[in-house]
Amino acid sequence: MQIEDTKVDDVLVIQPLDKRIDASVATEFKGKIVDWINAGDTRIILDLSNVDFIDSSGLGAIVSSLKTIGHDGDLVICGIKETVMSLFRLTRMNRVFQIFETRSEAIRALSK
Amino acid sequence: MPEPASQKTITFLIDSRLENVSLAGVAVRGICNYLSLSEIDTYYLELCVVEAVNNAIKHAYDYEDGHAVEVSIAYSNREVTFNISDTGRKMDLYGPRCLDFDPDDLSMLPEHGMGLYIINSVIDEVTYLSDGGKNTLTMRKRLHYKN
Repeated sequence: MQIEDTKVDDVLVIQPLDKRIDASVATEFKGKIVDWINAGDTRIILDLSNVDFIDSSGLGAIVSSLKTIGHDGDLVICGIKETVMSLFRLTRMNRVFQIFETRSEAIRALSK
Repeated sequence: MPEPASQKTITFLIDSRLENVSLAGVAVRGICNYLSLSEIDTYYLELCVVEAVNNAIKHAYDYEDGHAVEVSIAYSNREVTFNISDTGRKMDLYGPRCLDFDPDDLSMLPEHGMGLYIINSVIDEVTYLSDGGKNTLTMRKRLHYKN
Protein backbone atom coordinates (compact mmCIF):
# COMPACT_ATOMS: atom_id res chain seq x y z
CA MET A 1 0.00 0.00 0.00
CA GLN A 2 1.13 3.54 -0.65
CA ILE A 3 1.83 5.84 2.28
CA GLU A 4 3.03 9.41 1.95
CA ASP A 5 5.36 10.48 4.75
CA THR A 6 6.30 14.03 5.71
CA LYS A 7 8.59 15.19 8.51
CA VAL A 8 7.62 18.36 10.39
CA ASP A 9 10.48 19.01 12.83
CA ASP A 10 10.56 15.83 14.94
CA VAL A 11 6.99 14.81 14.10
CA LEU A 12 6.36 12.27 11.35
CA VAL A 13 3.10 12.63 9.42
CA ILE A 14 2.02 9.54 7.52
CA GLN A 15 -0.90 9.57 5.12
CA PRO A 16 -2.17 6.37 3.50
CA LEU A 17 -3.03 7.11 -0.12
CA ASP A 18 -5.29 4.06 -0.45
CA LYS A 19 -8.98 4.28 0.45
CA ARG A 20 -8.97 1.08 2.50
CA ILE A 21 -6.94 -0.26 5.40
CA ASP A 22 -8.23 -3.81 5.58
CA ALA A 23 -7.03 -7.36 6.18
CA SER A 24 -5.36 -7.53 2.78
CA VAL A 25 -2.92 -4.73 3.66
CA ALA A 26 -2.93 -4.67 7.48
CA THR A 27 0.33 -6.62 7.92
CA GLU A 28 2.18 -4.49 5.36
CA PHE A 29 0.74 -1.29 6.87
CA LYS A 30 1.81 -2.24 10.38
CA GLY A 31 5.25 -3.28 9.12
CA LYS A 32 5.87 0.10 7.53
CA ILE A 33 4.89 1.97 10.69
CA VAL A 34 7.08 -0.30 12.83
CA ASP A 35 9.99 0.41 10.47
CA TRP A 36 9.54 4.14 11.08
CA ILE A 37 9.31 3.57 14.84
CA ASN A 38 12.47 1.43 14.82
CA ALA A 39 14.23 4.17 12.83
CA GLY A 40 13.51 6.57 15.72
CA ASP A 41 10.21 8.18 14.75
CA THR A 42 8.07 7.89 17.85
CA ARG A 43 5.90 10.97 17.45
CA ILE A 44 3.62 10.04 14.61
CA ILE A 45 0.48 11.57 13.13
CA LEU A 46 -1.69 9.21 11.11
CA ASP A 47 -3.63 11.32 8.60
CA LEU A 48 -6.69 9.30 7.55
CA SER A 49 -8.23 11.89 5.25
CA ASN A 50 -7.99 9.58 2.20
CA VAL A 51 -9.33 6.53 3.99
CA ASP A 52 -12.98 5.51 3.53
CA PHE A 53 -12.87 2.08 5.13
CA ILE A 54 -11.00 0.36 7.96
CA ASP A 55 -11.85 -3.15 9.14
CA SER A 56 -10.89 -4.80 12.42
CA SER A 57 -7.55 -5.98 10.99
CA GLY A 58 -6.67 -2.45 9.91
CA LEU A 59 -7.73 -1.12 13.29
CA GLY A 60 -5.68 -3.84 14.99
CA ALA A 61 -2.63 -2.72 12.99
CA ILE A 62 -3.09 0.87 14.20
CA VAL A 63 -3.51 -0.30 17.81
CA SER A 64 -0.45 -2.52 17.50
CA SER A 65 1.58 0.44 16.21
CA LEU A 66 0.56 2.52 19.22
CA LYS A 67 1.60 -0.33 21.52
CA THR A 68 4.96 -0.59 19.73
CA ILE A 69 5.61 3.11 20.37
CA GLY A 70 4.69 2.58 24.02
CA HIS A 71 5.01 5.45 26.47
CA ASP A 72 8.09 6.99 24.83
CA GLY A 73 6.11 8.70 22.09
CA ASP A 74 2.64 8.94 20.67
CA LEU A 75 0.54 8.04 17.67
CA VAL A 76 -2.33 10.43 17.08
CA ILE A 77 -4.92 10.58 14.33
CA CYS A 78 -6.27 13.39 12.18
CA GLY A 79 -8.55 13.84 9.18
CA ILE A 80 -10.77 10.93 10.10
CA LYS A 81 -14.07 10.62 8.24
CA GLU A 82 -17.32 10.25 10.15
CA THR A 83 -17.90 6.68 8.95
CA VAL A 84 -14.43 5.54 10.03
CA MET A 85 -14.88 7.45 13.28
CA SER A 86 -17.99 5.33 13.91
CA LEU A 87 -15.72 2.26 13.98
CA PHE A 88 -13.49 3.92 16.58
CA ARG A 89 -16.58 4.72 18.67
CA LEU A 90 -18.04 1.23 18.29
CA THR A 91 -14.80 -0.34 19.52
CA ARG A 92 -14.15 2.46 22.06
CA MET A 93 -10.82 3.22 20.38
CA ASN A 94 -11.86 6.88 20.35
CA ARG A 95 -10.94 6.77 24.07
CA VAL A 96 -7.50 5.34 23.30
CA PHE A 97 -6.27 7.64 20.54
CA GLN A 98 -6.02 11.40 20.49
CA ILE A 99 -8.04 12.39 17.44
CA PHE A 100 -7.72 15.82 15.82
CA GLU A 101 -9.82 17.34 13.12
CA THR A 102 -6.93 18.79 11.12
CA ARG A 103 -3.29 17.95 10.54
CA SER A 104 -2.14 21.34 11.82
CA GLU A 105 -3.96 20.80 15.13
CA ALA A 106 -2.28 17.41 15.48
CA ILE A 107 1.15 18.86 14.70
CA ARG A 108 0.64 21.61 17.29
CA ALA A 109 -0.35 19.03 19.93
CA LEU A 110 2.60 16.73 19.25
CA SER A 111 5.10 19.58 19.01
CA LYS A 112 4.46 20.75 22.58
CA MET B 1 -40.80 -22.06 1.75
CA PRO B 2 -41.27 -19.51 -1.06
CA GLU B 3 -39.82 -16.07 -0.51
CA PRO B 4 -42.20 -13.23 0.30
CA ALA B 5 -42.99 -11.26 -2.85
CA SER B 6 -41.20 -8.17 -1.58
CA GLN B 7 -37.93 -10.01 -0.86
CA LYS B 8 -35.06 -9.83 -3.34
CA THR B 9 -31.88 -11.89 -3.28
CA ILE B 10 -28.43 -11.76 -4.85
CA THR B 11 -25.82 -14.50 -4.49
CA PHE B 12 -22.21 -14.40 -5.63
CA LEU B 13 -18.96 -16.26 -5.11
CA ILE B 14 -15.55 -14.84 -4.38
CA ASP B 15 -12.25 -16.67 -4.43
CA SER B 16 -10.68 -17.07 -0.99
CA ARG B 17 -8.10 -14.29 -1.21
CA LEU B 18 -8.13 -11.32 1.15
CA GLU B 19 -7.51 -9.04 -1.84
CA ASN B 20 -10.98 -10.00 -3.15
CA VAL B 21 -12.93 -9.15 -0.01
CA SER B 22 -13.34 -5.49 -0.89
CA LEU B 23 -15.51 -6.62 -3.84
CA ALA B 24 -18.01 -8.13 -1.42
CA GLY B 25 -17.93 -4.82 0.43
CA VAL B 26 -18.70 -2.92 -2.77
CA ALA B 27 -21.74 -5.15 -3.38
CA VAL B 28 -23.03 -4.60 0.17
CA ARG B 29 -22.53 -0.86 -0.13
CA GLY B 30 -24.42 -0.79 -3.42
CA ILE B 31 -27.41 -2.57 -1.95
CA CYS B 32 -27.37 -0.39 1.16
CA ASN B 33 -27.33 2.70 -1.04
CA TYR B 34 -30.24 1.26 -3.03
CA LEU B 35 -32.10 0.82 0.27
CA SER B 36 -31.31 4.44 1.20
CA LEU B 37 -29.60 3.43 4.45
CA SER B 38 -27.53 6.02 6.27
CA GLU B 39 -23.78 6.27 5.65
CA ILE B 40 -23.03 4.89 9.10
CA ASP B 41 -25.44 1.93 8.74
CA THR B 42 -23.99 1.23 5.30
CA TYR B 43 -20.46 1.28 6.72
CA TYR B 44 -21.41 -1.03 9.59
CA LEU B 45 -23.10 -3.59 7.31
CA GLU B 46 -20.20 -3.55 4.83
CA LEU B 47 -17.87 -4.00 7.81
CA CYS B 48 -19.81 -7.03 9.11
CA VAL B 49 -19.78 -8.79 5.74
CA VAL B 50 -16.08 -8.00 5.26
CA GLU B 51 -15.30 -9.39 8.74
CA ALA B 52 -17.31 -12.55 8.05
CA VAL B 53 -15.63 -13.18 4.69
CA ASN B 54 -12.21 -12.44 6.21
CA ASN B 55 -12.94 -15.03 8.91
CA ALA B 56 -13.91 -17.64 6.31
CA ILE B 57 -10.65 -17.05 4.41
CA LYS B 58 -8.43 -16.92 7.50
CA HIS B 59 -9.98 -19.62 9.68
CA ALA B 60 -12.05 -21.93 7.45
CA TYR B 61 -9.58 -21.98 4.55
CA ASP B 62 -6.41 -21.08 6.49
CA TYR B 63 -5.51 -18.32 3.96
CA GLU B 64 -5.46 -20.85 1.10
CA ASP B 65 -6.75 -19.43 -2.15
CA GLY B 66 -8.72 -21.36 -4.76
CA HIS B 67 -11.77 -21.91 -2.54
CA ALA B 68 -15.14 -20.28 -2.86
CA VAL B 69 -16.80 -18.05 -0.31
CA GLU B 70 -20.47 -17.64 -1.13
CA VAL B 71 -22.18 -14.41 -0.19
CA SER B 72 -25.95 -14.23 -0.35
CA ILE B 73 -27.80 -11.02 0.40
CA ALA B 74 -31.57 -10.99 0.80
CA TYR B 75 -33.52 -7.89 1.62
CA SER B 76 -37.01 -6.66 2.06
CA ASN B 77 -38.22 -3.31 3.26
CA ARG B 78 -38.01 -4.61 6.83
CA GLU B 79 -34.69 -6.41 7.08
CA VAL B 80 -31.56 -7.48 5.29
CA THR B 81 -30.02 -10.92 5.71
CA PHE B 82 -26.46 -11.89 4.81
CA ASN B 83 -25.46 -15.54 4.45
CA ILE B 84 -21.70 -16.15 4.25
CA SER B 85 -20.87 -19.77 3.37
CA ASP B 86 -17.70 -21.78 3.01
CA THR B 87 -16.77 -25.45 2.71
CA GLY B 88 -13.67 -25.27 4.88
CA ARG B 89 -12.98 -26.04 8.51
CA LYS B 90 -15.87 -25.46 10.89
CA MET B 91 -15.19 -22.37 12.98
CA ASP B 92 -15.71 -22.14 16.70
CA LEU B 93 -15.69 -18.37 16.68
CA TYR B 94 -19.18 -17.06 16.68
CA GLY B 95 -21.02 -16.17 19.84
CA PRO B 96 -21.41 -13.18 22.14
CA ARG B 97 -18.18 -11.22 22.58
CA CYS B 98 -17.26 -8.41 24.87
CA LEU B 99 -14.54 -5.85 24.33
CA ASP B 100 -13.53 -4.95 27.83
CA PHE B 101 -10.29 -3.02 28.23
CA ASP B 102 -8.82 -0.09 30.09
CA PRO B 103 -8.11 2.58 27.44
CA ASP B 104 -5.23 3.88 29.58
CA ASP B 105 -3.47 0.51 29.78
CA LEU B 106 -1.51 0.22 26.53
CA SER B 107 -0.42 -3.35 27.12
CA MET B 108 -3.99 -4.62 27.37
CA LEU B 109 -5.39 -2.97 24.24
CA PRO B 110 -6.96 -5.55 21.91
CA GLU B 111 -5.34 -6.13 18.52
CA HIS B 112 -7.44 -9.16 17.53
CA GLY B 113 -10.97 -10.42 18.02
CA MET B 114 -12.61 -7.08 17.34
CA GLY B 115 -14.34 -8.36 14.18
CA LEU B 116 -16.54 -10.73 16.16
CA TYR B 117 -17.38 -7.99 18.63
CA ILE B 118 -18.34 -5.70 15.73
CA ILE B 119 -20.60 -8.34 14.16
CA ASN B 120 -22.34 -9.09 17.44
CA SER B 121 -22.75 -5.39 18.23
CA VAL B 122 -24.19 -4.37 14.86
CA ILE B 123 -26.27 -7.38 13.81
CA ASP B 124 -29.60 -8.22 15.46
CA GLU B 125 -29.40 -11.98 14.97
CA VAL B 126 -26.24 -14.01 14.29
CA THR B 127 -26.33 -17.77 13.70
CA TYR B 128 -23.65 -20.18 12.51
CA LEU B 129 -24.57 -23.57 11.11
CA SER B 130 -22.46 -26.43 9.76
CA ASP B 131 -24.30 -28.98 7.67
CA GLY B 132 -23.11 -31.42 5.02
CA GLY B 133 -19.64 -29.88 4.83
CA LYS B 134 -20.99 -26.38 4.33
CA ASN B 135 -20.66 -23.72 7.02
CA THR B 136 -23.01 -20.75 6.90
CA LEU B 137 -22.97 -17.62 9.00
CA THR B 138 -26.33 -15.86 8.88
CA MET B 139 -26.54 -12.21 9.92
CA ARG B 140 -29.98 -10.66 10.07
CA LYS B 141 -30.41 -6.92 10.53
CA ARG B 142 -33.71 -5.10 10.93
CA LEU B 143 -33.86 -1.90 8.95
CA HIS B 144 -34.77 1.43 10.44
CA TYR B 145 -35.68 4.31 8.23
CA LYS B 146 -36.00 7.95 9.11
CA ASN B 147 -39.48 9.30 8.35
